[in-house]
Amino acid sequence: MNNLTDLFKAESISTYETAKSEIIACNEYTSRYGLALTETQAAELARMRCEALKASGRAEFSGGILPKIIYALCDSPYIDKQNYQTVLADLQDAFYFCKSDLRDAYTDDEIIEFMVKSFNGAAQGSADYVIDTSLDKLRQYAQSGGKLSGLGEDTTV
Amino acid sequence: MIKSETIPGLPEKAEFSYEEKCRITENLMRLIKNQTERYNGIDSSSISAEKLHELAKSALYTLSTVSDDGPKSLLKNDLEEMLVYGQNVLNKKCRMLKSKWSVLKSRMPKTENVYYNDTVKNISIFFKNYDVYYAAHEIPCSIDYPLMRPVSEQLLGVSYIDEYIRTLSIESAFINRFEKNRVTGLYNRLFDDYAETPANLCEPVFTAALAPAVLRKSKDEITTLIIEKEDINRLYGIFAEKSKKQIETELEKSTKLLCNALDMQNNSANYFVKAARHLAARVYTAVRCESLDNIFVGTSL
Repeated sequence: MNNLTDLFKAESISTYETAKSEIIACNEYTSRYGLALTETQAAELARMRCEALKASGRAEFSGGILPKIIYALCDSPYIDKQNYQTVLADLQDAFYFCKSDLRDAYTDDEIIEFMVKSFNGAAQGSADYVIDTSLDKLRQYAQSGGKLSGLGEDTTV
Repeated sequence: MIKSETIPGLPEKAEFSYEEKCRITENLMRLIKNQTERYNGIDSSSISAEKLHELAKSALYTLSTVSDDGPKSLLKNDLEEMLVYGQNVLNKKCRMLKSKWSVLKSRMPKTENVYYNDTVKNISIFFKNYDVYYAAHEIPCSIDYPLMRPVSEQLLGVSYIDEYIRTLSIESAFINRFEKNRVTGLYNRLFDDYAETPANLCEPVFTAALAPAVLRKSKDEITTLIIEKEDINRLYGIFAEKSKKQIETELEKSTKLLCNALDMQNNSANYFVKAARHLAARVYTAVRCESLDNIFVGTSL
């Protein structure tokens, strides 16, 4: 109890439920694009969020980043019922790693906008391309101290 | 990998019931969640685990500085209010500390030692960079000059700097009671290049002044910082048959006489009495090794 590490263990349990219900709540908006996640799929994504946070060495008190990714991605021509959950899981993972890797150099909104732009552009719906190529370019770009608005003009990312 | 760390302000084995532990966890989590949200603003929903720990340590250190009833304070539901109060207290402390630092600067001994001079100068960086809201426990400046008795590593943030400035002021005031050329002569005997040596400047002056005090010499003789060979022989005579405890008692007594002769205030005298206790073990060994002249070194002038 007198230990900071012990103190934070309890928190990850309480935010799992919040994350799950926030993901389900997105269905109301995404249904217009024919996309909806089941309780099981939402639970799985919430569980994967906890793992991604742990693996990337991050913590989060709110329900998570997925609702923002969902709203930004749901009108993509490359998303359908079949790949919806997988793409979300991949981009969620990539998002947290990217935040840590870039040492919070960019805001959540900037990274999501970049990922979605890349997913709909050069990646042509390939989450792997976003993760392996675009985010790698972003990493190099961040190291040179560039602003994301500058990279946004580059159609190859 | 984050190192397991004790919460600042909480004793390692604080006794709490299960219900109390749950309440403390809830209170702290609420507080740290709010702190994280304030720190992140709208830019980020998540935070790195390292930064989260830093924010938690900062908040808990701030709370510990205003907790009237120790760890039990964490059971209060209004930790947020306590945090704001603590931040105001630390801000006020910082302002007061800045005045103390200005006094120290105006009274610092004229020395060529770069470690002393740079450290006093660097404290200005502390005031410039200190973040009472998100990094209250940190000491954002380099403190390279070693004190005669180091400040406890348990002290954090303003508390550390406060104690460092207080101690450095005591040591500086002590050195100022001696003529500069005699003090410099002493350093030149001890160090090849005292200006570039990361050593404490007060301890040699203290031990050089303590020797004549042990021999019950006059104030004028004490301030010369001169130790003759004959003085060393007399010191052997005084300490030879004494136990470690008896040497400690003798050095304490002589330190009080020394501080009295130099018109030192009580709190300053207490500091040197503690230093004398520490010196006793070295004197005991030096008597047996016949190396007292390595401890009690006088000026070359």
